[in-house]
Parts: sequence; structure tokens; C-alpha cells
Amino acid sequence: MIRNKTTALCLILAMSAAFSGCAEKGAKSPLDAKNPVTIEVWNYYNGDQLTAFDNLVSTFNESVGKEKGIIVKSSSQGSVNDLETNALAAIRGEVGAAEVPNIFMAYADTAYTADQLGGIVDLKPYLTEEEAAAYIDSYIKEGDFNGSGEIKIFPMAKSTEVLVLNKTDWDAFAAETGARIDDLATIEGLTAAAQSYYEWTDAKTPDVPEDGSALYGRDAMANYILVGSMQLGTELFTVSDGKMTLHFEKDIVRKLWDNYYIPFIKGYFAASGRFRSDDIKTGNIIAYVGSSSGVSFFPDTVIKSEQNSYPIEMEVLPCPAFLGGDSYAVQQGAGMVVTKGSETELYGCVEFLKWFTADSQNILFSVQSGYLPVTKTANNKTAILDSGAQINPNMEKTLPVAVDTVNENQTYTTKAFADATKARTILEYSMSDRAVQDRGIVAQRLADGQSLEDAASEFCADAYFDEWYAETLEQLQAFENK
Amino acid sequence: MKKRDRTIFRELLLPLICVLVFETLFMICAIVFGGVIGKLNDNATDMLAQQTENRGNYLLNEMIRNWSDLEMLSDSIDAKFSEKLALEELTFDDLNENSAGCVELLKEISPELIDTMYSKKISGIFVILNAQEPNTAAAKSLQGIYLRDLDPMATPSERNADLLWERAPAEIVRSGYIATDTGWKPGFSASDSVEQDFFYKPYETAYADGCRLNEKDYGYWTTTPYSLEGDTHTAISYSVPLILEDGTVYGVLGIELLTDYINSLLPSEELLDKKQGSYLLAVDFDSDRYLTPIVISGDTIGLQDVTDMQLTLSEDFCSAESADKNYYGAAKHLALYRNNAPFDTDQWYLLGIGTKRSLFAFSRQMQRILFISVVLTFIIGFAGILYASYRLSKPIRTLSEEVAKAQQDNSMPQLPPTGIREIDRFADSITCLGREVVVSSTRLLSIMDMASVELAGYELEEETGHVYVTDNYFSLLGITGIDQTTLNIQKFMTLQEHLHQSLDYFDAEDGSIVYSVPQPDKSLRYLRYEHQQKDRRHIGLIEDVTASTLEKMRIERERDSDGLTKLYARRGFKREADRLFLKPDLLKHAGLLMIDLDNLKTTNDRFGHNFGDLYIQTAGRCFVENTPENTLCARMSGDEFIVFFYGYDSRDEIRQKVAALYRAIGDVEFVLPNGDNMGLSASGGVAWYPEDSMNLSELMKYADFAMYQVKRSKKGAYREFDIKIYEEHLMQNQNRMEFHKMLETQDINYFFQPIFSSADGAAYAFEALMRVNLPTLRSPETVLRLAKEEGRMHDIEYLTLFRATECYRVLLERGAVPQEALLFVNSIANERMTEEEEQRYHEQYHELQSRVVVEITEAEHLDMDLIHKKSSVENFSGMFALDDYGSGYNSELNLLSLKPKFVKVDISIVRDVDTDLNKQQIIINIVNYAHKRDMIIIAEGIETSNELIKVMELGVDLLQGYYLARPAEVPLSINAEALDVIRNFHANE
Repeated sequence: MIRNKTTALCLILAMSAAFSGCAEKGAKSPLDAKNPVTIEVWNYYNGDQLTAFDNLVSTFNESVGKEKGIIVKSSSQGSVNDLETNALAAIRGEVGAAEVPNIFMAYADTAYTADQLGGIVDLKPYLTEEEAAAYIDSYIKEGDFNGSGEIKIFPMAKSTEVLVLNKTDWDAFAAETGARIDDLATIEGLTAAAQSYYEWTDAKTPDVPEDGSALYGRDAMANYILVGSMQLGTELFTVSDGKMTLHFEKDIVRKLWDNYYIPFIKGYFAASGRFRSDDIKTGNIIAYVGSSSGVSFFPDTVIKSEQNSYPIEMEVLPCPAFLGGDSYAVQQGAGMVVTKGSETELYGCVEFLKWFTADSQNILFSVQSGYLPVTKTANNKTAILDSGAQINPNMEKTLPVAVDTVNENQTYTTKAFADATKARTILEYSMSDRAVQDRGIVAQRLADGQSLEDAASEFCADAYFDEWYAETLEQLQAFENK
Repeated sequence: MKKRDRTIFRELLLPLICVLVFETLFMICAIVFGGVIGKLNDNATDMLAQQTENRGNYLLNEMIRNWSDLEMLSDSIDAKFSEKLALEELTFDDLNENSAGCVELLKEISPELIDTMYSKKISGIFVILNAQEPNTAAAKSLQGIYLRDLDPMATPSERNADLLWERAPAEIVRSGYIATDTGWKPGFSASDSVEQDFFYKPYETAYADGCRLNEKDYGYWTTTPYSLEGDTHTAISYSVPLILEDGTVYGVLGIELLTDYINSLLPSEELLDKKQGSYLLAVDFDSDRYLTPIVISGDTIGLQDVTDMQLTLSEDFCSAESADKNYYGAAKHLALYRNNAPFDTDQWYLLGIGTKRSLFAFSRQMQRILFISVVLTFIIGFAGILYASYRLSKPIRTLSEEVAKAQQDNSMPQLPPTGIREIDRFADSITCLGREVVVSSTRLLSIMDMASVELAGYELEEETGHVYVTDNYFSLLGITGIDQTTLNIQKFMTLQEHLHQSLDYFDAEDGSIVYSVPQPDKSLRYLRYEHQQKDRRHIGLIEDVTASTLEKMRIERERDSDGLTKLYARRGFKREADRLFLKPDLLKHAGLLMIDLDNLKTTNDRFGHNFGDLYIQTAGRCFVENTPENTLCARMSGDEFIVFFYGYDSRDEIRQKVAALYRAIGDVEFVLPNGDNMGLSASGGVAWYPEDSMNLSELMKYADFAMYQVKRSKKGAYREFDIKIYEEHLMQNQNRMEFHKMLETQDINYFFQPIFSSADGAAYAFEALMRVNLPTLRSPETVLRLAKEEGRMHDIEYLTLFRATECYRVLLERGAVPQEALLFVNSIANERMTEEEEQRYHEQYHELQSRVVVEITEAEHLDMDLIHKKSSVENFSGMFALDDYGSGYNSELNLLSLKPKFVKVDISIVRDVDTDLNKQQIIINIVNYAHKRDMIIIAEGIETSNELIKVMELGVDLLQGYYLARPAEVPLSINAEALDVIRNFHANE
């Protein structure tokens, strides 16, 4: 009897020891399903991308998150610029700033700035070498700021640029003018085709002079200049030790000018509203170069007005490149940056990011958002098409082109340096704003009855370019060696 | 009542468990009745209410003061529209279609809308224009713009890059830098406008009302989240009608709040732990306290679908509860409308809501923790008690088992170490003790073996039935063939009893028994047996005391007999006689003859001791030879013998034997060394049993007494004891003893008899009279006789003077006698105190001396020199009194030689003096004689009134006698009758 009681006592002691043992082991992975950790994720997605992202987050919360005790809350900060501004403000602890999210999406330069502020975490310790090797090398290297192999940006979804075409209207134009879609493979070809399209549409209303329509518009002018410069043989910003050296070669810039500014003021190109997809939507243009991820915004209807709207078909083509230039394609898309937090939160973050970039989820997100998968196995046409994920026709057209672009070209993305974002903003707006502004003058002059030639001649002059060049050069030089 | 046999384990366990159970019950009571849980629950709801109140105040402030404050904007729009109408850039009809004027108006108000949207941090703003009847508006889409900011809390983006067009004419989209949302449309379809509350309600109400009120009063908060066509977001909005000054309603201006945004403003995690709570915006439409949910924020973990939850407000509108009672909410009323405003039937509430489970999680957790604590405390306590009891009892049990085993095996117990110091020490001590016992028992055995006398013993334990008998026990007692292994207590006792019955024994002086065991060689073996019983343990020891017993018997024999005569010596006689006196039937009539040989001393002196011894031997032999066999003859000392006759039927028989003996004594003759013949002479005294005494020593005393009487008178004879002579003799001895004792202790008192004046009956003097109060010695005469016989007269004289004076002094001090009275002290005529005594007397009583009268009693012969020397005592008064005058003894001669101051006429003269003329004459003579010589006459012993009268007639000066006053320790006053007689006598003169 007594022996039995002793045994029971021993059992109790052993059990309690075992429990405490369990508790200690648990400390290794601090996640606790009963006491879930909440992970705040900031993104800049809108529209379908946001929906796709939120859907995946929900899926995560209901499956792995619930199982492991992670609740991911995502919120869109509207635009990438807003996101980066807010995130940096939060990290800096500025007055009125929100609390620092656990994860925010950031381009390399923002991540770099945040890293300089000491706000972000190297994720390498949380990934096995095998896991890290699964990602496309250039993507994972993006977050290696100091060359030590650190991973401060977790690749999540990438995009490249493609040319998207309102095939319905293009076909009408091509049918009448014999324009070939191959013309759009080069920038020079595109410019020519745009002039031809302007003239063709202008001719549709003989009674109204110079009322031709623009063929083309471009999102992300900085990409045009950076990748264009690269294709033409010079890397605009070279960076070593976080310091940038500027290579704003005049002849190259002139070539970029001639293939954007000049056709723009002449009305061959156009840009109104925020995104070129809006211009497609309102029937302003019929083709644009934009992020493969932006394709989801491509409308299925052109609404010129409430009374004048018609359905259109979309075609996706590789992004045109300079004739004879090096084969570079932009690689863009923010990665995920994990901010400092408790060990539990970090585990939660990594857990979520790994799950999100696992092939099935990553492909699912790709086909819904137009972003490209980030692992070597998933970034593959066959893998995507065979994934069984429901894929809408637009995406079915986009992804193969985008994947090929990434796989067949050298991908280019700017390296991080101080105030890179501001430098990039100059590239973004310097030429395009000038173009919009000058196009306004030209349009006014045309309305006043001047010929296109006359109206544009002032702006086509070399001196005008020189003046602009000098101005821009000066602006950019301000960022050199900062 | 026998205490139950309980184990140490149980003894430890039970009380400890009782304490534990009590403790546990106490804890449970403290939890249950302590009220803590209820308080915790109240705290939880209070905290929830406080949070809800705070958040509700914040929200209400935003809704009223910020979001719904659209007056400036609407005024500005009104102004722009009015201006355009006035400038005729625009007509009312233009508002209904995509006209340039309408687009222009919208374009112009856009910046203001954007600014307002940014400044109010709202997620959307819209203007819908309509200049038609509301019902006809359903046919066409309406013009307007609807802007959306997905991140209203963020700082405005450059170039409004964070804004999206939901609705706006294409012209406006193209002209600005604002992107379109996926669901963008150039205008508002019916489902986006007239079918929506945010348009229809304010517009229609204002329209129907004739716009009697301000725009603001028609303001309306949508109570159902809506989505625009083609949009995925849901939102609620606040909208006011746009009314021109003339009362024309031309559209609606509103702000939009995405439900997601509202959710972000209602951080539900602040409500309850682990984000278990939610904020719920709800509306009570008809003040029926039934709440319709609008927006719910927070993770809906644990919350069911909002629409399923039927919440009802409490009567004080401060809390709400779901129909299934699972949810509890703290309610904050949001007063969005002023009283009697068109939509004031919509009562908005913000609820902080959670499952009761999570709300009261803490108290439940507390309860659980407390419960677990209690259970754990109990379990651990119980286990601990079990363990401790077991730990404590186990070693003890093991020890006791070991000891029991060892007891069975008769071996030394092997006590294992328990690890408990006290118990180990205890066990060690026991082992040690056991070992010592073994060692000492074997030691004892070896000592027993080595002892010069043979020893044997046994030990019986009734409790265990254990019998231990040394191997030689029975053989020593002369029994063989006992199988000791089968011996039990019963059997042993029987054997022992049998031995006791069969063996001769006597009691030794130390209380033990000495058995005499016959040996095969006919000799006896003496075994001393001693038995002890302690509780239920018997220990017996036998010891061979043969040698010492034989030696002792020899010594006793020698001591009891007289070496010279071979008769019993005093001791032997005493022993034998004592034995006989225990058996009166054996004694019957007995006579104790005490004999003292006469002339032994002279014989010894004259002829030497050898002859003296022969004389004694011859006497002894003679006594033995001339008395019957059953006579005890003993020589008590030197020349003293006792011959004790007993077993006779009468004294006469014995008398014959005694007479025969005396005859024989008379016949014995010696030849002295000088050749003379000499006879044997012995004086004897006989005392009788049982007549004189039944006590041996008394008989001896009596016989001795009788013998000495013979010795003092006529030696060589014998006489019988006479109790009367003996007692007389004894009495005299007693008196004498008491007399001596009296002298020794001065235990003598004096009474005082007053002597009165015959003139007036006043006390003139007091005579001190000796009083003896001893068992046999009572009269002063005897005292005086003894004093004379013993030659202690001087002591009496001394005592009388000192004691009488001392007693009188005490009386004087107490005032019992008059100050001037004289003291008569009887002095012994022929004795006087030594000078030293006289000196001491003077020192002690000099103040009394002048009053002391020494009374001289007439004696045969008065030594006058001596008497006169008495007066030489310093300070002596010089007064003598001649006592007993007339009683004989040369009275007149004494009178002459003494010349006393007082003459006391003897009682024999006073007795019957009234009738005896001779006596009268004697008194007349002495009075004559005395008065002429200035002497004073005292008549003593007056016992009648006649005597009194007569002596007074005869001229006696002083009077003494029983008739007047008896002697007493404290003198009495005069008899009243006598006083009357005295007074009458003088009166008749």
C-alpha cells in the first residue's frame, strides 16, 4: 500500500519535472498556439494585388498561423512611397508616426536607410543554407548590404516590365497601316510606330488638324532611364561602400530624350493620370510599358465617356529595348523587411515569410497579382502553368512573358545608396514632367493653329536639351558620394 | 479499556491528514465566501465599460466635430454652383449629364474635396449632383465624384498619389494625377446613388421637407455598410444634402469611412486580454433596445457572425447582452443627431463586447488557479504526509521487525542503519545494550561458575512464556531428569511448589528461605533461595550456603551455652524461653526460679577464681541434676542462674520441685582448699506463670525482686514473689524519683492564704504554702519526709524561699495582694541558705525583703545559732514567726529563745476553742505573754464562726483559717460571712 503511494508520489514528481522540462524546450521556439503573436505587415498593394495578398494572409491565419500561434494583420499603405515614408517615420520614432510594423515592404534603398537606422533584422540566422539557396540568387543578394551574406530583405514577389497592348485597337491600326507587332520590340521601333499611329488617328478626322492619338505611355520613367542607360552601356549609378558615383552620359541621355521627350511633346506618347493603365482605361493610349504586376489593373473596357465605351483585348509583349543595346531588364519589387522585435515576433515573421514564398503560395500570389515568384523552382513558366492555380487570361498572357524576361535578360536593379529614392525621383519626374509641361504648351500652340512642327520646334532644339541636361545633371550630382 | 494497537505510520498519518483536510476546507471556504471572484468580475466589466467610454468619446468627437462637420465645404460648393448659375456657365439640367459645365464644376471643387479628405483623415469623400426629382433620377446615372484614400492616417502623398478615383468623369481622371480604382466609373449608377441611403435619405428628406432646416440637420449616417458597384470595400458614410439658398436641393455631399478604417480606429485589443474583445458599432432604430450591428472591429476569434448576434441593451443603456447570454458588451451611446432631427430615431452605440468567457477569463483563471492550488496543495500535502510518515515509520518498522526476528532466533538483532540520526543512535544503543546484556549475562554465568559457592537461578516471563533456568538449578535442589527444553512456566511453578512442600526450610534473617536438601551421604545441603517478582517477571536465585550455615549454626550453639557450666547462657535461655512462651499449652503452669549464689565473691576472694569456677560448675550441675528433664537451666551471669519449670498443672507441683531442689542444694558440700567443708548456698525468688505474669521478662523481674528480698534478709533461702510488696516498693521508688525530678526542675508552686486583722478583717499578711502536683507525690509532708530521708532539706529551704518570694512578687505586680501586706514563708528551722544563695536572694528580692516573715516550725530541737544566722541575710526584716505554737516541742522554750515577732497558735489549740476552756486559757496566757512583749498573736486553722468569735474575744490579733479564706494560687478575699462576724463582734463591743 505504502509502496504504491510512493510510486504515485514519484510519478507526480517525475511528471512535474517533465512539465517544466517541456516548458524549457518550448523556449527554443517561443511560438505558442494558445497565446498567438500578432504580426503587423505593411504593404503598398492595391486592387487585385491587395486582394490576393489579403486572401493569402487569411489562408495563413486560418492554417499555419492558427496552428503555430501567429496572427498576421496586413494593411496597405496606399503607395510604395507612402509606405516607405511611414515606415521610416515609424522607425525614426517621429511625432505622430504609427508604431513600427513587424514587416514592411521596401525597396533596397529604403531597406538600406532603415538598416542604417538600426531598425531591421538580418534573417540569415533564421534560414538554413538550403532554404536561402532556394531563392533566386540576385533576389537574395539584394539585402546583402555589407557583403557579408546577410539577408536583410526577404524576397517576396518580384516584377519586371512588360509592354501591354490594347490589342483590339492595335489590331485596327495594324490592319490599316500594316504595322507589325514586332516593331514594338525595340524602343526605336516603338517610337516610329507611335508616330505612325498618331498620324493614322489624326487622319481619321481630316477636319480637325493635329488631333492624333498617342500610342504609348510609360510608367516608371526612372526604370526607362536606368535600364535604358544600362542597355546603352553605362550604369547610371554605380555604388561602392554605399556611395554613389554618377554616370549621366550626355549622349546616352540624349538618346533617351529623343525616344521619350520628343515623341511625347509631339503627342505620339502620352501620360495623364497616375498610371498608364488609367490612360488605357480612358482610351488615351493603347500600349504602355509598366510593371508586370500592374497588368492586373489593365481594364477590360475602354471608357472614353459614359456613352462611349467598348471592350478590349489585351496583349503582353516583352519590354522594348534599345536597338543593339545590351540585354538588360529591370528587376523590381519590394522585398519584405523585418524590423526588430521580440524573438516570438521574429519567429512569427520568418514563419510567415517562408510560408508565403513556398512555391504553391508564391505561384498562387503570382497568378493573382502579376508578380513573379522568387524561388528558382517557382519562377518557371511550366511550374506556374502546371501549378493548378486558377489563372485569369490576363495573367496567363503576362506571366510567361515576364518570366522569360527575367530568365533571358540580365536583370537590373539599382543598388542601394543614401537618398537613392530621391535620386530616383529626379529620374522619374525630371524628363516626364518636362514632357508633360511642354506638351501642354505644344497642345496650346496646336489649338492656336500652329503646325506640330512649329509648335514643337523650340523644344526639339539641342540647346533646350542641353539646358535640361545641365539642370538634371546638377540635381543628380547632389547625391553623388553622399 | 485497552488502547488499540496502532502503528507509528498511522499515528503520524492521521493527525497530519486531519490538519491538511482542515486547511483545505479553510482555503475553499476563503475562496468561496471571500467574495473575491465577484469583485474580479465587477472589475472586468468596469474596465470594459471604461475603455468603451473612452473610445466612444473619441469616436463621437471624431464623428461630430470632425467628420460630419461639412458646413464650410458645402457652403463653398454652394457658392461655386451659385456663381456658375449666375454666370450662366451652368444650368440645373447640366448637372444631370456629363456636360462640360458639370465637369468643370466638379473639377473646380475637387481640390477642396481632396483637402477636406486629407484634413479630416477620412477614407473617402463624394459629391453626387442631381437636379431632378429623386424618383426620376433612378433612370439615369448621376454625375459626381467619389474619391478614396486607402490610408487616411498617412500623410498626404505628393501629387495625391495615394488617392484613387472611384467615380469621376473621364475628363477629370485624365486631367489629374490620381489613379483610378479598378472599379472606376465615370458616373453614379442608380445602385450607387438613389438606391443608396447615403444619397437618398438626406436628399429625399430635405426635398420632401422643403428644406426648412439647415443642410446639417438633414445629415445622415448610414446604418448599413455598403459597397460601390465594382468595388470590394465596404464603408459607411455621412452625407448632407447640398441646398442652395433658395432651398433647391441639387445634390449630396458626403464623407466615407471604410469599415476597415473604422476598425483600425477601434483597437479592440485594448478591450480584453489576448485580443478577445471587439468593438461593435450598432444602432438601435426604434428605441426598442434591440441593436443592429453596423461594424465590428477586431479579430472575430470566438465571435460568431455579427448578423447572428442579437444584442439587447440593458435598461440603463450602459450594457448589452446577446440573446444567448454568451456575449456581454459595455455600451456607449453616441449622440450623433440633435433632438428631433430627421434621423434621430437612429440611436448609435459603441459596444465593447466580448464573450463572457473571455471577459471573466481572469476571474475564471483565478478560480482555476485557486482550485488547482487547493487541489495541488492537498495532493502535495497528502503525498508529503504519506511520504514523511512512510519515511519516518519505515526505519522504525524495519528495526522492530529485525528485533522481532532476532527475538525469534534468539540471536543478536542486526539493525540496519536508517539514515535518521536519532533512530540510528537509538538502534545502536539497543544493539549495544543487547550486546552488553549478552556479555554481562555470560559474564554472570562465568562468575557463577567461578563462585566458590554454587549458584543457580531462573527467570520466568509470564508475558512471553519464556523460561530460563540454569542447568544446575534442579540438580542443586536434588531433582534430576528435568528436560529444560520442554519446561514452561506452569510446569516450573508446579515443580517449585512441590520442592517447597517437600524440603525442610527455615527463614533466613534477610527474608530469604534456606532449604535443607538431604544429600545421598545423609548430610544436609543448605540452599539459600531468593525470589523476586517484577511486574510479570520472576527471578529466582539459589545459592549453596551449606558452609556458612553450618558455621553459623556452630557459632550460635556456642554463643547460646555457657562455657563453664554447659548450661544455656542468657541468649540461649532467652531463645528457648521465647520459643516456649509462644506455645502456652506447652507452658501450662510454670515457675521461674531466679537463683543467686551466695558468697561467691568472698569465695573468689578467699580461694581464687579457679575455686570460684568450680563453685559455679558444681552449682550448675546440681541444678541440672535435681530438676526434671524438661526444666530449662541457665546461667545468666556470674553467680546468677535461672531454673525454669514448666508444663505443670498447678503451682504446688512446682513448689514441690523447687523445694526438692533446695533440699539438694543444701546437701552439696565442698572441701575447701584449706580443708574445711563448705556448703552450697543460693538465694532464690520464684515468680509464677501465668499468675504473676505471662511475660517472660516480667517474670524474670519479679523473680529477681523476690530473690533480692531474700538476699537482703535471710540468704540461702527462697521466697515467692508478692505483688503487694513489689508495688509498695515500686511506689516508694516512684515518689523518690518524682521528688528528685521536682528538685531538678524546681517544679514547685506556692499558694497563698491570707491572714486577716481581727480588728477590721483586712488582709494583713499572706502565708506561702507549698503545693506539689506530681503523679504520686502530692503532699508537702511527703516532700519534707523525702527531703529529710534523702538529705535534701537544704534544697527545700532554698526552693521555698526563692519560689515563694517569686510567686508573691508576681502577685504583687499583678496587684493581687495589697502593697503593705507581709509574706510569711515557712523556713526549715535547721537549714539555711549558703551565703552565695543569700546574696542572690537579696539581689533578686531586696525590695520585698523587709516584708518577709520567716516562719519557723517547731521541731524537736531548734538550732538557735543557725536561726539567728538566718537573720544575718542582708536586709532581712528580722521578723520571725513561731509556727504551730502549742502543738508540743518545748513551745515556751522556743518562744523564749527565738523571740519571734509573731506567734501562730496551732490549729489543735484553735479547734473547738469556743467550747474548750483549757484551750481558751492557753490562748489567754500566750496573748498576755505576747502582748506584754510586743508580739502579735495569730490564730490559725479557724474553721467556724464560733471559733472566730472566741479567738477575737480572747484578744488574738490576726486570724487565719478556711473559714476566712482558703489558700489559693491567687489569694482569695475574706469570706463575707466571716467579715460580718468580725464586724458584728466589734459592733457588739
